[in-house]
Amino acid sequence: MAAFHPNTSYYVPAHLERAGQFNPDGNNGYNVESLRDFNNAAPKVAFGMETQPGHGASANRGEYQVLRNSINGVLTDSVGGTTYGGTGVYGAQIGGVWDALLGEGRNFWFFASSDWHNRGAFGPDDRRSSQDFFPGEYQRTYVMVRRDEHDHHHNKQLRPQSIVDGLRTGNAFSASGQLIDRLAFVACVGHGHNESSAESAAVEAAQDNTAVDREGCATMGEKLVVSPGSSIAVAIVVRDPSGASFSPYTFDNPSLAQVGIKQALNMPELDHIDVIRGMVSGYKAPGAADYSGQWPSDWIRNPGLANVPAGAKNTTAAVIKTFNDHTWATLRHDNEFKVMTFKIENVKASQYVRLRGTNMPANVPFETDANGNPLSDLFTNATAVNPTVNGGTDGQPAGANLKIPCKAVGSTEFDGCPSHMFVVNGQKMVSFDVAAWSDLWFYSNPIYIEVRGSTTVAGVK
Amino acid sequence: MSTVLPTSFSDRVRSSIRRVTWPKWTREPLFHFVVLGAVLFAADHFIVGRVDDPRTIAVDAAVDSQAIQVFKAARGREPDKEELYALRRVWLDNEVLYREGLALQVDRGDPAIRERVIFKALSVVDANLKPPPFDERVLREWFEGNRAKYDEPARYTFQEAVLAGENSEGAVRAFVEMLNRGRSGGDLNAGLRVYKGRPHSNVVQGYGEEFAKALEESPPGAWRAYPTRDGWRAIQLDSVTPPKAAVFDELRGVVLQDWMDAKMSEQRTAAVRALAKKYTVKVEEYTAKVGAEANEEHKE
Repeated sequence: MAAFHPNTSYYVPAHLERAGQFNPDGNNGYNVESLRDFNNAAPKVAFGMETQPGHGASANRGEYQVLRNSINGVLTDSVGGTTYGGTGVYGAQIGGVWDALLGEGRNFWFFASSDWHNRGAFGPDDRRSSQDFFPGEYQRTYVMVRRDEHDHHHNKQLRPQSIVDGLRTGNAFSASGQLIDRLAFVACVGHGHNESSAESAAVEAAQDNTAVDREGCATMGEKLVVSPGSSIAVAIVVRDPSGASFSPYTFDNPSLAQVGIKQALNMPELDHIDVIRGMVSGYKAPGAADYSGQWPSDWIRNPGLANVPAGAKNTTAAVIKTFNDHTWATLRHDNEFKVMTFKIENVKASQYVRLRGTNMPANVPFETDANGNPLSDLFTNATAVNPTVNGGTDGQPAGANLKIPCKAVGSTEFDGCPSHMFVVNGQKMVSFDVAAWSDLWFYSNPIYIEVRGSTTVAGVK
Repeated sequence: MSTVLPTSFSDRVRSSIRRVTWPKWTREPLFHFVVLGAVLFAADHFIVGRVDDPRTIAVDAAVDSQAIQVFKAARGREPDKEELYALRRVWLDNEVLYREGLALQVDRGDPAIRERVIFKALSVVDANLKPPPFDERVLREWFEGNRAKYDEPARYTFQEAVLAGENSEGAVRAFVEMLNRGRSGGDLNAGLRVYKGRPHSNVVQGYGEEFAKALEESPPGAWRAYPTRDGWRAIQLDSVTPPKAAVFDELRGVVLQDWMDAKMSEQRTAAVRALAKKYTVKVEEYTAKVGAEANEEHKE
């Protein structure tokens, strides 16, 4: 691909955690070194991963599953066991595999897709689903596509090549359930740039749905080269669209109902945005001890970065800022736009900042922990769990892990909890598409800040 | 070309025919009844067999009606003759594929098709269920038996100021002191999380029993440092809403619906279990392991 189709091809592994860790005796599974190998071999082709899988309405969200695959007769989990708020553990875990790759300064981006096949128990015209969502119905990757300056005949057309070029830049973000549909994320430095100018650049870009092209500023997939001791102004503007989403359900979000929040499933609201920062320490050398590392196979029972090998984590990554409706501003004439700014003072070493946001506050039972991290989706997965060995007797029946009740009563399949939801002891439980529409997330790609004299962010020109 | 049989041979045949006599039982009414039944059965088999012939596909009014409906929904008008022909063609192609697929048994082992069939079978079961009779006493007993579901627990409204990357007791205490003096602690330090009306169970789930107890005993309105199971946190309790016992008369509609759902669910389960009786079921023992352990992990 790199030799013969360097610009037209791309290699973005789909649902990469699903098949489990890298299987040296087969042709399935990815470890962090697999991603490094691909990115080293063809950085313009292998530039990211689909760590937020499709199949979001299935009984096992994303079709990630505990003890999913039989590899050499041994049943193996999808990496991480399940998804986490619909995202695989490689992308969802702060300080995990994605942060390990970004911590090297690689051009390795986050993508999501629908993976549409069918609607499960329902016909293709039904708005309910127990399997997949249509392309764009639930998950979307928003990518900045630029006009091709050399294509004078078609420069107003959206062409496949310009989309692939856009994906390659990393100027993209992914969101589920129409949680947000615009994002301008910018870091600026130098004379004339302060929080206010960074903010105005971001507001303009978000309102016009265009790129942030200002000297001294960088956006997602780009790097800002600065002198040591610089002060960086960071601005974030998102649009949380008003009106109804594509969710067919109008009853209150049952996950939020657990903590007393009334919010219709088709009217999701962004609860907060976390800013995540990690330090960049350069590319790992192939063959070095910290180049490779398998994600722990018992993660679902025993999560914790302490058990993750050095090659698959970046312990410098952490949430450095949390914004919500108490701390963000809204545009005076359009309150769909939320505006946030902050400064990173006196930068000494190369680093990156990225964002995640959700409709879930921190500490929502079976959805988020007290630090706002997404919990395993085991608690909304209705699927049966295989026994640990083929033919074994320690499997779990369907519905055994469901925890969130869905109590809304309506007169149709859409204004009350629908009839296809899994029932445990007479109680409908959050599962299938209702689980997906309840729990929404977005992830941005990073902005790199390269400090002169510190580590070079080699993956981004 | 015809051939005239010799006279002697024709006479022999004629005389032998005359000698044929039907057995007496063939004149019995029972025999006539059996023969008539056999003829009717054969005729029925022939006619019905033609209708269900797997190699006959009928493109009928029902096909047209569905095609017109789908077309109209998409285009806002009815299809013309050519368009209807094209729609029929598509339906026919799909029907051929459907029948060939069934013949090849590609539906076997397909979880999506299994799900669909289960869903439709359950709909049939549901259609045969009847809402059970009820009266005030039944509903009140149900309400009292499930009171925990309806009583309002005490709720706590509080805020957390997140100290980025630092959760030691010393750092959080110093941060709290700064917050109480009205200083935000710098640009990068504080991120505010606001929790409105969280019940006791949720506070325990998120931070642990010790934290919940300390929070409940705190005076509202000041930042305090609290130990939690994953480090110290800066928290300010804003208000406490006391618990409230549920009143049946205010919730009668909800209780009725919950009771009805539970009873219908019992009926549904009983109906499926009754269907299961005609099968020989071999059950292997399971011991909850992965999920239960993961749940325990979550509770800690």
